[in-house]
Amino acid sequence: MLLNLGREEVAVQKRLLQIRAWVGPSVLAGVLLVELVVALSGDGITPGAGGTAGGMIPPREVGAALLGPYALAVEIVAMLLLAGLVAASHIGRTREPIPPTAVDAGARTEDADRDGAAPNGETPDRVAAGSAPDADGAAAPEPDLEPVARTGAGPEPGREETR
Amino acid sequence: MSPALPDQALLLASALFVVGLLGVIVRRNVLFMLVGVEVMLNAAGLAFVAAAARHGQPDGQVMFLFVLAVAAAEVAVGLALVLRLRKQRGSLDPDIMGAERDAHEEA
Repeated sequence: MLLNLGREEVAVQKRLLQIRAWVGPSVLAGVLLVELVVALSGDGITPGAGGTAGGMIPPREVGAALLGPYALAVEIVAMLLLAGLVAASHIGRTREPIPPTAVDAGARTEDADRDGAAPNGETPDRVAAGSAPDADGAAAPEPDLEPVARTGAGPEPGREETR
Repeated sequence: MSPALPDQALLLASALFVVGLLGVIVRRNVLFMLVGVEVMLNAAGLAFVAAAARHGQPDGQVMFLFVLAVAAAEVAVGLALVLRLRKQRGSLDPDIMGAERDAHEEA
């Protein structure tokens, strides 16, 4: 199948492949096909009262229809686009870099290391300044971000990276 | 505009829908499956516009605008999911999506 959802889904689909499971939908699809053929052959449907069939529809009519009878649908589409924007920014949010907090933590540890290691000498200072921000940058965001990962995981339980 | 044009547009829309459906079925890449879904949505919109031209009503073009908005929202969420999939699994093959969970359940 398409997304390989597991063995129970395969069992459900095997049940759906029996004849009595799809004879009803195929009858309904046949009715729809007959309706389409009738509508397309000849003048099954007369053209509407307000328009001329086959003519060009001016943009003025489209705009009037969009903000007249379809104003509620336009509002719903606006909410849909906002929901899509929020969902896309929520799903596509990156976890690892975390620009402000990691940069702040790295700068803070670097400053602390420089202050503490300045009287000692050159080489321990360089070693401390080189290793400390990396360790902090790798360790500090982990406890912060783990609950976020849990709540974002939601319906998929086995989402920890096990590979 | 000749009166036979909406029927030809409807044929083009059905051909476009078949192309998009084949893209979804045949491709083994989530990104191109998303492109196939977009092609199918545009085929439906073209059918709406053809019906609007046949009946001389502006409702079909209004519906096409709605289809475009739905396609925009869908492709935004879909591309975010594709980015997450690429980052977490390192691959865009749709067959590996549930495979790790199945392996986890069997173990």
